[in-house]
Amino acid sequence: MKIRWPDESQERLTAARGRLEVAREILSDRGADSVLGVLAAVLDRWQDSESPWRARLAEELEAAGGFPVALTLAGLKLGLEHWSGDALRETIERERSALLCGPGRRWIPFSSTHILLGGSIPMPSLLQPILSMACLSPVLVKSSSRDPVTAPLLAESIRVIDEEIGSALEVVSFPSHDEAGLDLFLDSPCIVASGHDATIHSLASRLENTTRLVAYGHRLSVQVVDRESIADDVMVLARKIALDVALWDQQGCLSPAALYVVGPDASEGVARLGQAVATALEDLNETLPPSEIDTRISTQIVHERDQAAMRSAAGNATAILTGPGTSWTVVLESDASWRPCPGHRFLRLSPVQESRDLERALAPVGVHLSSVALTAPAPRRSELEERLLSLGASRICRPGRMQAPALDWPHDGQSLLAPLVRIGQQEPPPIR
Amino acid sequence: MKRAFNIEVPRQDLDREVLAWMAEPRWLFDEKRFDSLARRLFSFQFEHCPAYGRYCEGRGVNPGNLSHWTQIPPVPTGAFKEIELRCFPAEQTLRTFRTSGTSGQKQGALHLDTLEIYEASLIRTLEHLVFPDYETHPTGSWRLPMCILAPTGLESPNSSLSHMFDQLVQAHGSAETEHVVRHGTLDLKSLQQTQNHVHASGLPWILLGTAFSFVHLLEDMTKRGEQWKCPPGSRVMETGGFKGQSREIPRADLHGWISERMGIPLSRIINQYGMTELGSQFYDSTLVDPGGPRRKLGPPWVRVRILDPKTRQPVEPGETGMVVIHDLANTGSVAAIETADLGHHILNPQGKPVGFEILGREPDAEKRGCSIAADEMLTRPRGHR
Repeated sequence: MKIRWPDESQERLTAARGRLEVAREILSDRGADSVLGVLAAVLDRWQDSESPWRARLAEELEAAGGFPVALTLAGLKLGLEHWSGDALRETIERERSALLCGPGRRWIPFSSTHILLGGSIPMPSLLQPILSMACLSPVLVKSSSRDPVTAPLLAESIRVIDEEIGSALEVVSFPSHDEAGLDLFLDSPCIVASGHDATIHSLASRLENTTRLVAYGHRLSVQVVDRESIADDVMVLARKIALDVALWDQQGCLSPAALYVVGPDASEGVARLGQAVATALEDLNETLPPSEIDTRISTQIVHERDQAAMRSAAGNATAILTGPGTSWTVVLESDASWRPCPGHRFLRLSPVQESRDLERALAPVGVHLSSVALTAPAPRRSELEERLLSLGASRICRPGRMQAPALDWPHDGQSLLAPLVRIGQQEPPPIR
Repeated sequence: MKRAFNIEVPRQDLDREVLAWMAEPRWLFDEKRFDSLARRLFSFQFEHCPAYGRYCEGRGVNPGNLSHWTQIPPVPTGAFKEIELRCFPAEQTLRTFRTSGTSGQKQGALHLDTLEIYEASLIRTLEHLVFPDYETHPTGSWRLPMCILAPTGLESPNSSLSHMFDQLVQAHGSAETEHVVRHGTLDLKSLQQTQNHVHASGLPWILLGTAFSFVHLLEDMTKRGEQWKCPPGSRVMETGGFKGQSREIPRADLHGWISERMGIPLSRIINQYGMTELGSQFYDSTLVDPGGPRRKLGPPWVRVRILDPKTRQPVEPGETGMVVIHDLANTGSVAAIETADLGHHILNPQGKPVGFEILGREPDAEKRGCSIAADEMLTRPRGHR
């Protein structure tokens, strides 16, 4: 006789989906303005530098094997700087007006939105459920295994302000090999997913054609510094660059995977700036100590360092600056070939003689380009901006601000709300 | 700056000694012999591959201060993409094998001025680890029907894997042997005909190919509800990974799927671990030691060390670390290779390493491995099981 034991995670999923059906009615009854008001208040609480939510997130994330407390607090401080309740209201209202621009247009929320979170950085886990709920869709979130903390805390912080609206956010977890659980989770009219391109591709192949898939695939960011900007105060710039590298231990798509110095004598600029960034990273080792890294990551770092040493031995003008153990690495490259970045405070600086060469250097990753931190004097800035945007960048920012995108930043070049709702159009009745 | 050591080690002597070891009928893991050969080979490579020599000097190692082969600095596999690592003039290059990079990626290259050692190593290792039951064949000239799920060396001249299969077919393939990947297509019809023919003969059938080629074949068989019962003694050898593919199949699942569809016992389905940068390969142990734990085994002229990447010292027995391989078959390039792969030693009840296991390649690493190149050549649309 075969005994079929009930599957606990599937039962939890089914129960959560049932509760969200009730929550859907609640969101509809309460209406857009009321829901938005509550979500704005939640964001304001998180934005407060004394917020107990931030402190809990930092402590619980470290306890769960995530980032050290100081690193999480620094990341949240910068990331939430402009994520206020007012910014949320303005963003939603502006996007809603744009979407409803046209006669008879109506905004129809999905009956549920299921969000599959990936990665280890809390920021997307905070914003994505809020955006979907602001569209009046109840939300089921599957936390990332590397950040099991943020989504449940967000749900709790909403419930504290408004129990009813808080019921429209459910968080579940199930093992990645639970195929039946995943199929159940993917049974929704709208799926939001972030992760590697292969993961997204695989997910897409499992969905019904009618399901809306809002995908955030593999992205990376870079720093571009005009040679002329490397002046006497190079340490000021280096500290900002080092902060961009150190925050979230370079694990996110907004972290710089490479830095290009553009202009005549770019190699000299690479050497000068590289030394300064190394000094700044060493300083950050004290104030923002890095996370512990496992053998897999340290193998990659050592492998990339050794490859750079081999290039140097082969006669290339490559230099490697390193911190204690694998804590940080700065590689001063002699050319601008694209090479892998293992993250965890590993930065390559490459020389590019002319701005048009930058396009060649970034061509292998152009489609994956997210943000670019640009340092350039005014006359050259607009030309570089133009080139970078046409290459695929969806955001140009200043160094030191890479981890602080505006709340209304069109993530990966997509409108924030349009993918999360359906727009219907009601044609006027015939004129008699 | 690289110093000169005036230690003259003739390459021909080294080649001869390595070939003699490979030709011995019994495999003897002689530590002294390995150390002596490895150190002399290092002296030769230090002198004749200037970039490698300078790299070793940078690590404080030279032929004058080397006391044991484990001190020889390994070269990262990625360096084969950017630097021509050879110990002979470029014009003497006889053959270059390249890694399977995708468009826009640099490909690693192994340059060879002789194929003698390369071919001797691969054939001896295949015979010993994949065909142990034929090693004592009275005439030594056994032949079996083989099905190669990869293009021929003629079609894919830069592929070390295709070259390996060609060599095996030449040495031990019977007249029924067939390559079923032609011009980028897995010829399922031809494969089916061969299968019918071979099964009727009752002879063991040998299927060899990339892991993803097997997936394509199995998907087709599953779709058509087809199931084989391969004759006793049949076996499968698959190699390569799934990185960068639309999906990955855990190795154990792939083997289970092969076993279920082809009627071949799991112990006769083995994985090869190899890389273009190496002259030798490793195979699952289950054909030579069906009762023992599945692990990777290699020939006696190769050593595998598992190192802590932070200290570059061996990890505690059984712990996970960076896989470093020392292959004496690499006489014309560099013998000590640092992979980006993680692995651990498999221990016997006495705690002594008896092989190793690869724990997967880094997901974010650039796509590489034989499987990818083959998959890009296959034109069938992908689905999922």
